[in-house]
Amino acid sequence: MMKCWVDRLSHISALFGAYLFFSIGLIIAYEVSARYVFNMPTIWVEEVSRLLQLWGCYLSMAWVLKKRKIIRITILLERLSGVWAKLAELISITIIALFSLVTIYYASSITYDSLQLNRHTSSMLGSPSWLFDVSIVVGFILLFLQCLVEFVTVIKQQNVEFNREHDI
Amino acid sequence: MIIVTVLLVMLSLMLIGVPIAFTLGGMGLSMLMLADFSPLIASQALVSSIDSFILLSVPLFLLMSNVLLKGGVGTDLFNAVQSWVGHLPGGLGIATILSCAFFAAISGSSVATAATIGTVAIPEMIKRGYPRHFVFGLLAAGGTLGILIPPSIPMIVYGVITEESIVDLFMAGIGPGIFLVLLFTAYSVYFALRNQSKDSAGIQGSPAKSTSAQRLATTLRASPVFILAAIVLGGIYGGVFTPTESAGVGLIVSLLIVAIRKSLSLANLHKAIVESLQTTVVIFMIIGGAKIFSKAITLYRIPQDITTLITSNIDQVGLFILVVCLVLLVLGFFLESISMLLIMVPVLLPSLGVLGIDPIWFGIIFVIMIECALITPPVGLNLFVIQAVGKADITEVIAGVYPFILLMFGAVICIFFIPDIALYIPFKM
Repeated sequence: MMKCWVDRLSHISALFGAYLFFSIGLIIAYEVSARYVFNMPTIWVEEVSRLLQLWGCYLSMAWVLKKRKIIRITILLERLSGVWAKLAELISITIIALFSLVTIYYASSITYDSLQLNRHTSSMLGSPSWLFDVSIVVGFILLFLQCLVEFVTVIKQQNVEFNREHDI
Repeated sequence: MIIVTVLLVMLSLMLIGVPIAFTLGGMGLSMLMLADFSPLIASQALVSSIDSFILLSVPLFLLMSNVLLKGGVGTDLFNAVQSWVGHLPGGLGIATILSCAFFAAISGSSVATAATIGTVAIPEMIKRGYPRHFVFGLLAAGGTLGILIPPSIPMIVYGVITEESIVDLFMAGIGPGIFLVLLFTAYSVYFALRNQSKDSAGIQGSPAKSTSAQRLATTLRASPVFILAAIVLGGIYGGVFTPTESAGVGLIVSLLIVAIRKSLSLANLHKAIVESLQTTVVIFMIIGGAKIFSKAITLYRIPQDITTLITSNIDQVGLFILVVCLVLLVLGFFLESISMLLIMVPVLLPSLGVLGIDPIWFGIIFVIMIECALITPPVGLNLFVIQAVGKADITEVIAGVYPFILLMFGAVICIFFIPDIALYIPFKM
């Protein structure tokens, strides 16, 4: 039940993240036309694009983990089988989960400080800093939940398979 | 001692399959905590590494490439180039490399370049009797031009790490890009002439020369690609756009192209958006992890120690470049491109200043070595792309890439002795 919900949450947040990146392309093109066609450069495009990029990236991490698309070296893993393969996978997931927990703790502290001190970015738009900081907290909570689900899934699996993954 | 321990732990974690992003991030965080530095540095690094307007060009160039890939513009481009050079000896090989180069000029990705042109060129070349291993090797190597000819995603990442001008890096990639195109083309002609045969077992000559009307028709059909390349590169070089803005405008123009051609369904557009996200997030996670790692090793003074080690043992630029190239060659056997860049460059950067090496010139050599990594087994990415596109056996692809790896080494040697191949366009034109 929990697996189903967490998987769905990761999927929806990644889809949202994907369209955030797409919308960045549109608003940057709008900025160029605002500058050259309407002679009215904006003050919000750069900062909003960076904010969307942060959210788009961190919202999608959990889905990338679920899909096992994160880049790793598989030369040794491909030769492992049975309990060793399972152990290697569990160690990986545990490290990601621990990293996520520590990050959630400290990123929450930064976000709390930003809220308390009413910090703003130093740009002309002067957006609240917590909007940037909280993306890390949300992203790593999703990632941690996905780690829990993947941990249980790997334990229940008969055979763990490793894929070579692609990047650019 | 610390350097050796860090290296050993990092290698062990990577070898047991911990994702590279979390190996780097986790080690950085642990090192900070062990030395009583505030772990808040790590969280701040996760924000600051991605909160960058320059990095925005990465997802946008990827989106642009994926839209064009899914929109099937490769066929038009290949047909147009083939109509001009296809009749020459080794014409299909020349057409393939030139198509890769043109597509590279509108794409920052080697995968998109190899996949787009491979889809069209592989069946055509095999039909004409070219040996399968040569075809696969040519396409795998041709695809790597995607990251040397601007725009280039590794160059953007390199520019962000070294704080060098992305525009200068892009411009410095043009000369070596053309140089590699010439080397690959010359080899294709040589190979075709050597293996040409009138029987059915060998290469069966070149296609008939196209008429002027055919050339005009195919070129007109492919013209949006050339216009897009002119907008993207001309806009950056002419100072009209920043690289990020150029990527945004390029994305809109590529959407217009596929909309006019009616060659991209909404389902495929969705696929292009999701696939671009996946690649972007994977790259950005490594960038985030590497930023934490780089902060930690700087606080431990590891890059400074390595610089001292290098400069006290190596005082010649040539020897330094040779050592770096050998290390990159070995790393390329098991690390992918962006990881190599993010692990090596922050460590080597201080040495460049001490040895008086131009970071732009070094960046180009680095990118060519990354190109080699893209086609060296066992983890060379383009090998798997071509294996998938050409429905080939991986051993056939691997057998075909070796001559091209040697040509790339040749290019590195030439750029070492004649730095102007890279530096003439950005600084002397």
